[in-house]
Amino acid sequence: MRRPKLRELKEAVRALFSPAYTNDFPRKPHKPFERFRGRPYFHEEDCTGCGACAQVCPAKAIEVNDEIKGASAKRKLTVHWDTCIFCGQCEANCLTSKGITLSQEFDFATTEKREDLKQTIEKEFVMCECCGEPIVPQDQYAWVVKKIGLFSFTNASLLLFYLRSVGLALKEKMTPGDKSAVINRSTRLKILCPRCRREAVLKS
Amino acid sequence: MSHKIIVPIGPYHPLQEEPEYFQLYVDGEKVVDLDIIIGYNHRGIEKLSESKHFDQIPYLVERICGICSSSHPYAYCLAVENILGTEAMLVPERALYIRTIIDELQRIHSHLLWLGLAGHFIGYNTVWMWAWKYREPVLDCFEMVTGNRNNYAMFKVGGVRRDIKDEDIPILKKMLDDLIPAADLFRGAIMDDPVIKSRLKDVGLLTRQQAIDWCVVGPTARASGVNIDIRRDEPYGAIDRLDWKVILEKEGDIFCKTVVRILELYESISIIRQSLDKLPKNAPIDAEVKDIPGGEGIGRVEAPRGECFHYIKSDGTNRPIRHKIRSPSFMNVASDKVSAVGGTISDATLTLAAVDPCYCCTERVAVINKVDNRKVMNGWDLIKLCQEKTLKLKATLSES
Ligand code: SF4
Ligand code: SF4
Repeated sequence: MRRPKLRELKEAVRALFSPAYTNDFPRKPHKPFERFRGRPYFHEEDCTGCGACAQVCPAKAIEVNDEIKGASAKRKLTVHWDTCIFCGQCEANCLTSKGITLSQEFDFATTEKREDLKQTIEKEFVMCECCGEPIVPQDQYAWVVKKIGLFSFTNASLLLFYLRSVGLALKEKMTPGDKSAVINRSTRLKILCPRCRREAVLKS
Repeated sequence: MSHKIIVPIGPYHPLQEEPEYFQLYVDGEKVVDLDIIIGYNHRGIEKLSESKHFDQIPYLVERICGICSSSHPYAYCLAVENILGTEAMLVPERALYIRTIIDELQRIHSHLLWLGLAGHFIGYNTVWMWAWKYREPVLDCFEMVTGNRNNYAMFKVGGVRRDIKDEDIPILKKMLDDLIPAADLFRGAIMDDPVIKSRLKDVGLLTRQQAIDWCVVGPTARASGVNIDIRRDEPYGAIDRLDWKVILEKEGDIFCKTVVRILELYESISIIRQSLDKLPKNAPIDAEVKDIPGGEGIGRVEAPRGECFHYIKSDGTNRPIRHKIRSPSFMNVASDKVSAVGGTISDATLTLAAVDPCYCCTERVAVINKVDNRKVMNGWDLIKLCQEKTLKLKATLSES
């Protein structure tokens, strides 16, 4: 009975003379491992506003709200950290793969309300120049143009968007929400939503 | 009335992974009957899963249990892969090994957790501290490889989501090397210690026949001599290419359940070591799965507590139309009805904990004496009762 005790005594003595195994957390900050999955952040410059992250999020922690105000519309993307489960789906499925990334932050203790645990970014929409409906966020158009390069010359909306963004075509004055605008042959050379584009092609 | 006193244990406490409610009918010290009432933790996961698409469900099912949080997504993936064909057909080699590594790492941390709790309940708080101390490096490895200590987010239909990097392998191997002396320590401490031995021997007995009759699974069954292990009976991952054995004990008391779990630590360590050596280099870790056709599939995985079963029925859309889950503790908890009856109240805590449902952190315990005389004890009292018996045993042993 005595002999086996020696082995445990060794462990006990070792434990006695080694520093505490636990760490001094709130006073000494803890650094997680490099690949730790923590609080996700949107990066305004890399996010295109496509909303793919919201669709793949299993916890429905990303909210997409489209706000139409007169001639302009904005897409608001909000990530709610209180419902986020830090799975990394959003980062893995992001269109640009840099629009939302998981950081190493794990400490969520706050004196604020839990509803305030969120980050919101806004993206301006491209509007249909015929019916005034929002089509896609401008950054997503720009991303598509860049991605497909010369092929964007096959699509009038994309081409116009590109020419305007480099200053080669004039900005058209828009009549927002003007559903009665006549669709004719010349309408085809405008930025159009899919519905108006179909109509314009059919009528011309 | 023949039942004089009823001791209800439960129903729930945030620390319990599966809230259960036990009613012990006691006659003096002796437990004469036991009622088990479950269902306090019904979260509607099966229904919820029908509203998520196939790629999102692993995140949901790994939250069924924080401790077996790789077994559930694994069983789910196997079920979906069963609709598509088989795991071996679909999943790349490297992913099979990674799946096995994660699954076995989880078994190590779960068994260490149980060992610590069992030590705590019998009053060996040192065992508790040490077991949890040695569990910490395992969790650190999880954090390093998967990005989190629990809820690993590793599994997806057709492979795994994250790779094990080359620079992780030496760290993992070092952790395993350091774990061997710890496992030796526990094996020695539990097997040679006369107090622990006499405290756990012949307590909470579950004979082989009873184990078969009550359909227990996992270490609980293996401690009673029932030779079942899904890893061997229906191999998954890379387990059939590795050299390991199923641990069996005969008597079916708590001592055997402890021994089975400690010896399984060694097997898991050896499985992970072999997998790390055989891990194919620079290979893909997932296969692209586009559509899930209609059909049904089942997946079975040996979770640390026993067989974990998932059934998926798909109608060809991107969501399942039925998802059925059977977790191992559901089978094991019922066996308390035979193993706890006949023992004393001070053993009941331990017996109920021995199947590893982590129920013992229960906060509210009421002792009902007749109908009008109700006394509510703190949950701690029950553990104290259990620990006092160990102290008494210690005293008698040192006298003799
Ligand atoms: S980490 Fe997961 S839960 Fe959190 S926002 Fe991204 S997808 Fe949603
Ligand atoms: S670009 Fe990425 S972060 Fe931005 S909305 Fe699309 S998926 Fe989400």
